[in-house]
Amino acid sequence: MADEKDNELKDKSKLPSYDELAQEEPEREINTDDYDGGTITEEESNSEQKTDIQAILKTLTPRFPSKRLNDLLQPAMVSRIFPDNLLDKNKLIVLSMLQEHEPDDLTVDPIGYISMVQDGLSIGYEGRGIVDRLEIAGVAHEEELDKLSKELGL
Amino acid sequence: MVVLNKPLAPATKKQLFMIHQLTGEDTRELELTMQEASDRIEELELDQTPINETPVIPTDGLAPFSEAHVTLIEGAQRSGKTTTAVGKVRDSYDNDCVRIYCEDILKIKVDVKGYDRKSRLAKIKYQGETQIIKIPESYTLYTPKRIFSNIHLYGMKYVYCPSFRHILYWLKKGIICKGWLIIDESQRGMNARSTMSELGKELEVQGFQFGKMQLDVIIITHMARLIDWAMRTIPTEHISCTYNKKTKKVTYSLKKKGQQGTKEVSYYAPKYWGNHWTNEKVNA
Repeated sequence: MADEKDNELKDKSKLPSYDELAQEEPEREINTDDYDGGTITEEESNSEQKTDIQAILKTLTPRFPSKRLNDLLQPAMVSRIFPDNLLDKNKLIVLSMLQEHEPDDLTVDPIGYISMVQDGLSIGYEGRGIVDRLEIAGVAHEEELDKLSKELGL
Repeated sequence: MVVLNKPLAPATKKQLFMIHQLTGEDTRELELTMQEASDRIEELELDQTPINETPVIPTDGLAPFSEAHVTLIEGAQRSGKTTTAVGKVRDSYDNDCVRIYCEDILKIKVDVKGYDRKSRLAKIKYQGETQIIKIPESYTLYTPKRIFSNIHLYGMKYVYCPSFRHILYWLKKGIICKGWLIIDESQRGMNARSTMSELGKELEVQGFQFGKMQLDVIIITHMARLIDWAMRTIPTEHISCTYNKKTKKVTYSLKKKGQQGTKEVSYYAPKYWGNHWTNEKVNA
C-alpha cells in the first residue's frame, strides 16, 4: 500500500507548483459571542516572561489593595515574627489601617483588613516565609535539571 | 567494496531479493557468493543514484533562517493544541497580509502588531508609534507565505497534505518550503516506536533541515515522548496547552530554547474555530 503511494507520487514526472496544489475555502461561521479578546500574537507579546521561581513567588507573595498595607506586610512576610509578637502586631496594623478612615466612612471593611493582615503575618510567622522560599528555590533548580534531562531523553 | 566476513558463503535470500528489486531479473536460480552479491548490489545502487540532480535550494532572495523555527505543541486530548497551532499560523498570515498592504499601497515599512478580520482594523507600529489603520473592503489581502497542513484549514490559502508520505516527498522535492508546516498528530508518522522505519528515518533527515527550507514548523502531539527522539531535539519552542470549558479559553505555557523562564498565555479559543474543524481526524 505504501509502495503504491510512493509510485503514484513518483510517476508524476512534472512536479506540481504551490499554486496548483493550493486551495482556499471560506472561513467557517462560528458564534464567538462577540468576545473582544486579543489574538494569540497579541496575548503572547503582552504576557510576561517569568522563570519558574518568579512565577511561584508571585503566587506566594500576595499584593494588597493599598500601598500602606503593602509597605507593612511585604517586609513582614520575609521577616521573623515571634509567636508572642504575632497578635499584637496583627492588632496594631489593623487598628492603624482603620484609623486612616473617617468615623462616618461607611465604605470601610474591617473584616477585610483583619483577614488580609492575618494572612500576610501568618506567612512570616517564625520565619516560615524565608524557609519556604529557600526550599522552593532548591526544588525549582532540581526540577529544571530533571526537565532538561527528560527533554534530551537521558 | 565492502569486505565481508564470509565472502565465499552463498548469497543470502535478502541479497538476491535486493538484486531482483534493482534489476527486475529472476534471481531465484542465481549462483553468487555473498561477496559477489554485495559488490553487485553496490554497483547497481550507484548506477541508480542520479548524480546530476538539480539541488533543491529555495531561491527567492530571502535570507535563510539563522536558526530552525520549530514549535512543539503538547497537551491532553481536547486541550486546544490544534487550535493554538492554527491560531499562530492565522495570526502570522494576517499580519503578513497587512505588512504587504502597507508596503504595496501605503509605501511604508511597518511592524504589524495585530489584525481583526471582522472590522478589518490593523494595529501597526510605524516610526515608533502604534497606530490603528483600516484596510479598505475593496482591497483583497494576500501574502506569498505558503501554508502546508495535514488538517483542513478555512479562510486561508493553503496546501492540504493527505499523508505523511506526501509531506516527506514534497519536503524532499522542495515544494514544502518558505512558509508554515502544520503536522497534527505527529506521532502518527514520527512515532518513537517506528524510528527505524524508512519513513521515520527519512522524516528525521528532513527534520534536521527545516531551517534551510525557511519553514516555520508546528509539530503537534499528545506528549513529546511519543515522537521520534531525534525530532524531540529540534524544537525551539515548547508549548503545553490546557482548555477551560467554562471560559472557552486555552491557556498555554511557552518555553523558548535558550531563554530563561516560561510565559503563560491565555486566549479565547472560538476566535480560531472558524479556521479548522476541531474534530478532524488524522489517519494517514
